[in-house]
Order: sequence, then structure tokens, then C-alpha cells
Amino acid sequence: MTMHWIAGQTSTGSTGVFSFTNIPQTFQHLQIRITARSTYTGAENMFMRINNSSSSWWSGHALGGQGTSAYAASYTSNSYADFTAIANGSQSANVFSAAIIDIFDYASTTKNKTIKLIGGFDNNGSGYMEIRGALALTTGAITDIHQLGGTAVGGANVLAAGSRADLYGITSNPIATGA
Amino acid sequence: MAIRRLSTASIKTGSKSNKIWDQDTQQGAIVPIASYELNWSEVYGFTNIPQIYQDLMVVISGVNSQAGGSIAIDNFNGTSTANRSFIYVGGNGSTAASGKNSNIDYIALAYTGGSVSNTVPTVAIAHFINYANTTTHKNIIFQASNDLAGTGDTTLGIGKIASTAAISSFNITTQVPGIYWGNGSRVTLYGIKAGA
Repeated sequence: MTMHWIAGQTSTGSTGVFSFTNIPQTFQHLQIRITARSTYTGAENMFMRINNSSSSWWSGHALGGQGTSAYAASYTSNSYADFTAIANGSQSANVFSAAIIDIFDYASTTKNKTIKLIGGFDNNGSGYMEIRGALALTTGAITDIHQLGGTAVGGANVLAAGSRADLYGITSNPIATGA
Repeated sequence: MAIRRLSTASIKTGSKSNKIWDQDTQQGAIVPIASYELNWSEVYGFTNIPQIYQDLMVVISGVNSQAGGSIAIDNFNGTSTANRSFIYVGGNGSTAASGKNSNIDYIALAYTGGSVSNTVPTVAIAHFINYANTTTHKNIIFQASNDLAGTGDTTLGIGKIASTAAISSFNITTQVPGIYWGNGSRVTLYGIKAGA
């Protein structure tokens, strides 16, 4: 198994969401590594949509902690994958979220799509850390991630300068083992 | 340097030979930078970390010289400034918990602290996201686990260094004076490349 960089995007302060299109169908899995901050000043989560669709095919679970207690949450029939809280404009300057998102068997055309995220942010003792699972009830191969950002995106709310996301493909060929 | 024959199907770019392993093709995005076996020291340091990667990943499998140590990362860029903090969520087999610490000079990777065994390895992976940038505070996503056949815990957390400086060095420590890394402990630092 090896991991290969596919594409990356950096916000200069005017980017609403990140998007990756024409994703090669040659890998086994995908991984997104993202650091982001929203300019919105209210509570906001990181979110994602796939295949240029806003279908309400998303459900998910969360296990998290905010520094005092653990919590669990879930949702169904969402039009987007609802991920962990994103650092926003009300946090201290230069505080960003970080997350690693694994998208399993993304090129399959027979299985629904399962995604795992670990991530959160820390603002000197306040913030969140979560592991989340998301399910997209579609067997279509994932060919694009057309919205990756904050749920309050729109208007003046954008990803702050310095936000960045990188998309990687993970192989399952035998080269990495030397076989 | 070993040379391995690759099939044409293994080559992603047309400019590369289909007969010669050019290292880069096989290497992928995760590149080993340095690896140490940790024997009888409280602290091991990584210095002069190349600034050419997008992220760093540290993989630790540690046994302490006696029970009661921890796994922590500190001394970022050679400083002990109390500008670090972390939040975690974890479980010990019966209870889920969350905790935090702030205005400290380290980031602990095992939430119960003092739980690292002297016989069973505690494993941890820490991801330094966007470590080389000079405009944002630095995040470290970490996961740790030590199962002691019925006791132990597993942890997921995020730490922050309130500094915009790129990370060029840091230490791995047991955090407890007099407790050392035991035989067989190992820490490996990887760079995660972005770009072609």
C-alpha cells in the first residue's frame, strides 16, 4: 500500500469551499488532509458533498470530547456529510482546525460509501476533538468532492487564508511490499 | 540503491521509464525521514526536520523502563514555552472521557498519563498538519492505545502549538524523570509529500 498525492488547494481568503474534480479511479481509497478556518463567527461544522449532488443520502455518527466530557451524536437524511466543528472567526487569531478524512472504496460501483474523519481544533483548552463516520447511500463511484468547507459557507463566509486541503490516493497494489 | 523492474501499468507519468524503479514512483507520499530505537533515555529528539513536506507523521511504539511513564511531545523548535494545549477523548474499557490541558509546554498523547507499561508497548501516531507553514498555529492530531489485557486505554486528541513558526525540531519524552524508554521502543518520523 502506498499513498500518492493527487491534488491540493490553498485558500487565499476568498475561497468558499475546496473542490476536487475528475478524481482518478485508479486507487483503492482516498484520504483528505485538511487544515481550515472559517471567517464565519458563529458555530459551524466542516462539511462535504460528493458527485455534484445535494441529495439527502448522508447519515453519520460522532464520538467526541470538548475537554470536559465525552459525547455522541448522530444524524440521518442530510444533504451533506456533517463533520467536526471548524475553527471560525470567533476563535483566537491563527487557530485552525485539522482533520484527516478517509474515503473507503470510493471507486466501487456496488457499495454505498463510508467515510471516516478524525479531527477538531484546540483553542488553548477550548475546542473539540471527534471521530466521525459518515455514510452516503449511493453506489456511484466518487468522481468529485465538489464542496469541502464550512456549513455556513456563502456570502462573506469563506475559508480563511492559510486553509489548505490535500487529496491523496491509496493504492492496494503489491509494489509497496516488494512482492 | 535497489533497482526493481516495474510494469508499464505501474507508471503514472509518461516521462518515467517503465523498466527502472526511480524510487519516487514506489516511494509514494509517505517518506521515512528518521527512525530511532529508544533505549534507556528519557528523551529522543528530531532535529533539522526538512521543510519540504506538507505534513509530518510520527509513529511510536514504546515500552517504559518501569510502569508510570507517558508519551509526550515537547521542546518544539528547542523551546519550552507554555504555549501548547490539547483536547482529547478516550476510553478505558468502561468509561468514555474527555479532558484538556492548556498553557503547558508539552502535548501528551496518552490521556490517562502515567499509564505506559514496562512490558506491553503503547502505540501512538501523531500527525503534524501543515507543519512548515509560517502563518497558522500548528495542529497535531494524535491517536494512542495501550491495551494491557483488560486494562489500558485508547485516546484520540488534538494538540496545538500557539506559534506560527515552522516546526523544525521536537522531542519524544516519557515525561517522567527517571523513567526511560525500554528496550525495543521505536519512534519513526515520516514526511507526507504534496505535489507531484
